[in-house]
Amino acid sequence: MAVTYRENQQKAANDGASQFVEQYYLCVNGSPQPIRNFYVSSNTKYTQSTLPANVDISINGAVLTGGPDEYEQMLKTQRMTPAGIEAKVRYEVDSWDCHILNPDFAIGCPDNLLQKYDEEKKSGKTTFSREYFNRASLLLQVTGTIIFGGGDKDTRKVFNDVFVLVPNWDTHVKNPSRNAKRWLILSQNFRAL
Amino acid sequence: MAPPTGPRAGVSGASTRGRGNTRGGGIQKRSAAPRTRIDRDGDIAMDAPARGGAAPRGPSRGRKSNQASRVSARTAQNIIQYGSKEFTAEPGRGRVSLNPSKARYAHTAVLTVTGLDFTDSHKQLPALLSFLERKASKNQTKQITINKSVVDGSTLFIQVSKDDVPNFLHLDGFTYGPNSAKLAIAESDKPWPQKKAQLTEQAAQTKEQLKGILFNRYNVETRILDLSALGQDPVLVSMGLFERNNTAEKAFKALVFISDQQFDTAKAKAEAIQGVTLASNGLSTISPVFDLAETFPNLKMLDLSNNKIENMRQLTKWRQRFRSLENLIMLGNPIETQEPNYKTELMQWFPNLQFLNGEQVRTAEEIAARDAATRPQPIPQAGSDFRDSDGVGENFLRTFIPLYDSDRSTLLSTFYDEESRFTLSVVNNKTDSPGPAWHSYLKFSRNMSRITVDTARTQRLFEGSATISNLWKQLPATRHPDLVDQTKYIIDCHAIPGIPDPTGQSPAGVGGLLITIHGQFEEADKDSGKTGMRSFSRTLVLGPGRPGRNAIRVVSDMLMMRAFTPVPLFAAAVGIDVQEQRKAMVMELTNRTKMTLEYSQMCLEGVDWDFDKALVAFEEKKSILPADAFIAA
Repeated sequence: MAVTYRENQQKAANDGASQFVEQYYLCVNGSPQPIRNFYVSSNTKYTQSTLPANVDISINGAVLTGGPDEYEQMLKTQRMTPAGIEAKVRYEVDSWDCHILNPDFAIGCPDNLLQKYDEEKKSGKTTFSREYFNRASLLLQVTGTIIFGGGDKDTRKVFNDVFVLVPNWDTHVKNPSRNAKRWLILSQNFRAL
Repeated sequence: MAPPTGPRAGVSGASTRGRGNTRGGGIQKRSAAPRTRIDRDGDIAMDAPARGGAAPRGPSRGRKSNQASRVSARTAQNIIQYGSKEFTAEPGRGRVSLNPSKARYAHTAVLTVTGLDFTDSHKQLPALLSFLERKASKNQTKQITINKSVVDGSTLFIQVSKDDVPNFLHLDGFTYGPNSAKLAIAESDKPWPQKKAQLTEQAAQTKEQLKGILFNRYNVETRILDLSALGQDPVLVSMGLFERNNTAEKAFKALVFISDQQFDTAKAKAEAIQGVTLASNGLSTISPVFDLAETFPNLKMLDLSNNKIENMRQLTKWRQRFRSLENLIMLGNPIETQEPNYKTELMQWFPNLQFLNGEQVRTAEEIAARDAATRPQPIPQAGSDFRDSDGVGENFLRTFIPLYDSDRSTLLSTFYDEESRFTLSVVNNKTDSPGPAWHSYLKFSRNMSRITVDTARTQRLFEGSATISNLWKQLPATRHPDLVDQTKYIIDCHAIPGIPDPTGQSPAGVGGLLITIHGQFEEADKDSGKTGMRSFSRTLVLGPGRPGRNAIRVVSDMLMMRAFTPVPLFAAAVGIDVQEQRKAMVMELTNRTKMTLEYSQMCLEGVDWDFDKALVAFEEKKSILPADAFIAA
């Protein structure tokens, strides 16, 4: 049986979320890559969009006015022990789940792309262009464990991280940059529990 | 595979074997004959029963002289070996290598031989066994052998190959011996007798005596085991255990082993025995008592006073041990004068040491501060980040939370439509976590780090109120705490753009509200009726409703459940906000019950400011409340 439209949508969303989860927590755990690459604030399509699409980061209830860089700084501070040594703080994902919020997300999308996808949708074709299904906004909820290293016993804490991910339109062109993320964080709601 | 000719050095069972093998002599003798009786020696598992019958044989093997004086030493040794070598009788100790694996016995069977008087088994046994083997082998092409044997009371257990069982059963009813006793041979339904029952009477008696000593020397209140001045203990002295150094060491090991045996878990042990006194034992080194560190690694108090320890070298073996030691007493040892620096060094050895010779050398605060200094500093908790838009979120939650508990179908028809999505996932699927079992949720759990197949992921996505309704009917009933109790919830909320417009007028989407609820609920298991707590994080995305429907619709509803832990209290909420919150609770209770503010406050105070309990208490007592408890209508 041919794969249905809905199944294609779901698969694109799940694969995108899966890849995001993998890459994002590597970065949170201290990879050299700057964390800002994961957020819409790093993307001109969103920062210059006529419709408002500002990044919203809330960490343990505090809204970060400094954006992703402030979060990166917070993560660094967290790793620092009072003794001034950088300890290991590891975020381990135990569970994640993802919904499609808006399958035809349009904010920040260049007009030519909008037009192209709109025509494809109306054409009644059964095959779609490569990035056709990668244009949904996603709701992603991740639950995991933070392991605070150091001392005799590691302390563990549950965390819950909720994201609204939106398409990175820069990957919808021919030959996109290899390091570009397919989805970017529009909103993040983190809680250590 | 040459037949063994004597005890093997280096084999862990060797020391027991040389002395006590039931049929040691037999093996020697038969080795001359071209028979392939092999693999008996060096086989630790087989060693067990052999020794069981062995102990009483010892004296009969030409060691009659000197016997009396060695009895107590021998029994002590028995106990010690019992302790150090044999673990088959005690499952769950992790020394699997000493346990005979089941596979090894897959081709053997155990038979019982009864009908004989086995009181002098050590004399009769070799003859009887060879009689059995001879008769069983009659008219057989190969020699049939008995793998091992042990006498337990009036029964002789023999282990033979499964194939040979009929040949042995054939001997049932044979007569044997000068008294023409009738043999009864049958397949055993009992397991191979364990050595526990095989402790000789003397050994068992010794063990009981040692137990008695331990009992008398244990202080229930201080949880200290007093093993001081063992050499002067009248019972130990009368047992002759401290006549020589080597038996003294073994007696100590036996004491430690027996104390260890009294506990099922390491936790119970650490809890019950927090300190040990080894004072006045004439110890010049801790080597003889080293085992203490293995058996009681979590000791908090250790008293080594009035011994003969001269320098740190005599203590080195304990250097990486006793990591929780808080109190150490070294008074009355030559080390005090010979190595005046020993205190500093001991403090380094034992990082949690607080008292040395009764003097405080560190405070608990210092230790806590030192440990804290090596730990990362978690990102602090701020209060709820509830950026509501025009009270939409708050009003929604006030309806949503109680309705999910009481009337899920109304909840669905109000806020959910054909395109609403719901998923649930179970996060902490550990079986050892307390709380109700997860089975009612597991088959619906869309934890995508576990559910990796596309079809399963699609199946576990519930789309449309009808589908969701179907699922919710199958889920256990829940009871969420009242929203007014802010200590049980953390709720964040803010607006997000780009939600699909149900009217289709705005192609770029409309604004929506993202709500994340962290909290807890009580659940009743459908089958057992047991209740238990769970923690959850639930994310809801709200958008404007379709024309002609409720103004608000649920776009997405994502429920994640895990084992219960209370939500964290943020620093700002403690103190200042408590008063505010209590006021809010009083107001809310008054609103609901129509009691006066005073009575509402009294009611809440009576239940320690637990709003849910207050409601329950009100329901229980409202009939007996005076009229002036209520606000005049």
